[in-house]
Amino acid sequence: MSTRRLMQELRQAASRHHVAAAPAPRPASSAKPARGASELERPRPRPASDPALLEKLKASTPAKIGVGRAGLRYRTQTLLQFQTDFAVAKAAVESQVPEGWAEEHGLLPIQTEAVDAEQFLVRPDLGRRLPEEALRLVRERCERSPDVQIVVADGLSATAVMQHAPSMIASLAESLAVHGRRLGTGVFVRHGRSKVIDLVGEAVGARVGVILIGERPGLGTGDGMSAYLVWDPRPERTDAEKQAISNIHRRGLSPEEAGRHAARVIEAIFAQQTSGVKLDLRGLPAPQGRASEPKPRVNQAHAEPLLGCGQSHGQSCPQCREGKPGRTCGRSEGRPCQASASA
Amino acid sequence: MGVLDPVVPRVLATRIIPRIDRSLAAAFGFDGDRLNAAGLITCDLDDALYAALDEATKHAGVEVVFARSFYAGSAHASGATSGEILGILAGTDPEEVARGLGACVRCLESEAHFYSANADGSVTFFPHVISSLGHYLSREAGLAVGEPMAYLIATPLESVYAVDAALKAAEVRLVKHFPPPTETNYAGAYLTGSLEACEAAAKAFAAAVVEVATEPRRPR
Repeated sequence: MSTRRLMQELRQAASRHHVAAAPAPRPASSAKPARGASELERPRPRPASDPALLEKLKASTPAKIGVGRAGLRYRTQTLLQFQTDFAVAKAAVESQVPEGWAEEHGLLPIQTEAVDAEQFLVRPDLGRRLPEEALRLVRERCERSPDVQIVVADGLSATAVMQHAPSMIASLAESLAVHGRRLGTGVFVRHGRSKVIDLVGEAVGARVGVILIGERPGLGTGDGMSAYLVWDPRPERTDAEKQAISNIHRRGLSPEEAGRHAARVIEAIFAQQTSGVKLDLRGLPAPQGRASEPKPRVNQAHAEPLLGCGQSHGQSCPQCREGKPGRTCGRSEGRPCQASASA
Repeated sequence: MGVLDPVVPRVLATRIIPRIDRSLAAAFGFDGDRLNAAGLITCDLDDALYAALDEATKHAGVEVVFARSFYAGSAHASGATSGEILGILAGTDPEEVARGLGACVRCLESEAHFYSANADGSVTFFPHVISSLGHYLSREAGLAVGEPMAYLIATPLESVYAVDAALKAAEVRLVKHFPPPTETNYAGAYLTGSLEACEAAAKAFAAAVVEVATEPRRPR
């Protein structure tokens, strides 16, 4: 029984006896009624003040902004997109550069002290070290004392370097040739981290080292590549002495433009004889923006063949069906790619 | 206003802080990382809000992280929105806090009322029976969640006289006593027992308060 009923009973009992006069009908509270409970609980709609601007912002990034919610949770579409992006990121980390890929692209293949991909992931220190035999091979087979030594490492996304490294190397070589820079023999390091440029660069006596490496995949980019440029590569070089060019992929900086931009940075490195934070790039033109039109949202984010077969095809890739005419995808021909292997 | 007419509390101000500053949360003694959102409410009757805050903990995933009465009561409030109490609910997200505040306001509107002890309403009291304690008052009273409790508050002399009457009227025991003076200079006690016993005690308490208020100076 509520207290109110209790008091009502008591009041009725009292009015039958002697206490006080019969109470008047209960007056409504003279004050303005309290703000209603329902009013407090109703979620206040907060429409975007400028829906067109919001759409523009949403279209400008693969990041999940303005996705709304269902109660306290993501909408199903957002959740599925998260799962898709996460799967793409995982697949990129697990992707491997196939045997023979380096030779096909004119690179000398070596491997770090990490014996396999799994050890590479759990022992990051091994990915920074090269066994003596690898260095000996580099000294024997590579051109000595080049102006620029290029190293390609799989890093955390083999997909990325397979897709973008060949185009960037071609563009970089072309631009460097204009300045008369001598390019060394390219090296591919399996299970490598960016530090290996210092080791390879020192082994060949290069003046500038360039490493192209697969970036750690994020949600929305499994195929990002970075380039690190270093003056006078030596093992004691720190990360602060490396110049980074990041987000090289089809939705960011195109590999071709990245190559041209890297050549300009390399010229600045030669001129100033330093790299990294001490390098003054204020006179340099910014790289020419995006590779392509702003990327569309939702599922089209990975419409390009992230797990393709590594070659440009005149027609659809017979192995993976992912490849599109004129595009490069992630595996060599004759070898099933992950997409078709798991299909 | 007549004897035993309800005096409905007025909610004076409410606000929800969706993500409270952590240092402010810490100053109020709660973990702002865990309880992100806070709900604030002021009301012109302190005991009604204490009961309503407890009710809120039964309806939403909220904790009462602060509830204090103001000195001298709502007739001497510092401002029109001050009343005589500030209560703060905290929860893991704003939706929960909004639900908690909603339950709190509903309870104030429909249940947690003061009552007039005399014909002109110049003496009021709070003979509130809680059939099932929430997380807040159970902690304050040292009772288990779900136990019944009589929350009996009145003006100083009436409170002593009427709590005694309540304790004698039913199988109830005194859990916590609030002697005068208090911030608002009301006084009273928490009693517990079976629900029926609590109800009988509240009725006896009310009758005793009304008796004093309608005839303060009894010739002997």
